[in-house]
Amino acid sequence: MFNVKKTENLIKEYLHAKKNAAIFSTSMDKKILSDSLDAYEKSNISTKSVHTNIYKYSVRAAVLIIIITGFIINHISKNNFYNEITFNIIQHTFSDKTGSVRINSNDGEFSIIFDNKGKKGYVIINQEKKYIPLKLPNITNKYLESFLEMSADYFQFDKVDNISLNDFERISIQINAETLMTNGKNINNFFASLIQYRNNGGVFPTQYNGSEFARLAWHFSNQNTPGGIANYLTNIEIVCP
Amino acid sequence: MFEDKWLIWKLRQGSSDALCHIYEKYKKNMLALAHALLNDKTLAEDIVHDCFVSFAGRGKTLELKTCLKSYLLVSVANRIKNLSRDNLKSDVDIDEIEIADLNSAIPLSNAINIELAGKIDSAMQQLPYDQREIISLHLQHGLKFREIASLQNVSINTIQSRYRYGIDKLRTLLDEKV
Repeated sequence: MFNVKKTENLIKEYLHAKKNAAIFSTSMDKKILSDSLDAYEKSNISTKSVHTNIYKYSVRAAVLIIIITGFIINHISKNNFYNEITFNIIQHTFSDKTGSVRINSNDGEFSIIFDNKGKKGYVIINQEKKYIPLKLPNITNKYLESFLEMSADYFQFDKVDNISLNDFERISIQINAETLMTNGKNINNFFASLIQYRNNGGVFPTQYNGSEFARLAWHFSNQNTPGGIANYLTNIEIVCP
Repeated sequence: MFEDKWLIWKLRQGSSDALCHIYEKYKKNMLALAHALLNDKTLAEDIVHDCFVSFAGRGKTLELKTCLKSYLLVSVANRIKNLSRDNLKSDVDIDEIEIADLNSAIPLSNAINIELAGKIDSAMQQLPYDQREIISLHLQHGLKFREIASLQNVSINTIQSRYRYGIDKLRTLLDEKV
């Protein structure tokens, strides 16, 4: 009479005996190994091929993304900014040690910062920095020089010729950019207006303290100056070294 | 276990030596299982061939959830199960059982003589395939019920039931014959 345990033991012994007796025929043994190695090599090749394809398509995708991104940025810059901003002060007037010029709207939502070192600018919209390759127009620093020439009276410089922009650590001109963009067309008009103001015999008031250049802004914004500058200018700050 | 993990890692790196090593290590187990389930040496060799070539073909993409031995053995069992029923010798003629193999190669203990081995063989072949499969995997190769259940996507209770019914049936058959 077989109980469960005895049956299990008997079957186990029987199966182990069969296991020990399991021997391949020599030819089959070699065939299995040979076919397996072939299959393995093929699988390796196909895996490499897949990897190559993945790499190839990744590169294509990356190039495509770069092109599309460039196109979008170019599109944005052309349509929204490039035609509006004709600022070329930094490139020729500020040395490496000078700072940047900012154009801010009153609420601070719009800001353009030109890096004089890299000769490139970036735009800040709603406090988010967006780098845009700005193609700046021809040099217009004569406007700035004229501006400084005008300012010489205010600063009581001996000679205008002695003034170099390198003498300033930073010049920050803050204007109402939104209004400027709408009505002023471009920033050159701003400087042109300054020149016009000077040529028309406009004289800056001298009663203000030279170190409080912000008062000049106050003057601009409160005087009926030619070119409607008062509509644009909110603040001007020059920081000396 | 660690050796198997190392071999699999080497296999994924493209080492054909690892493949040869795996084959040498487990070929006997695979053949023994196929032989126990099919009772046909030629067919068993074919099954092992197909199974191992398929395993090798997966090469670098191989992902194992269980140990290598279990994976290979259950692969063999599944491949046999997938064979057309017509190709399997379900109705075994006792005269066709490979007693010659037993005579020549199996070092049976005193408890099992040739005659008894023939009767066990006969009884095993009368079991339904599912029960024979579980008994072989568990008793011949020491696979745990949980491992088998996991690899076959069957609940462990089903596996245990098949095993228990198989053993009960073997008891009955052996009682009748011995």
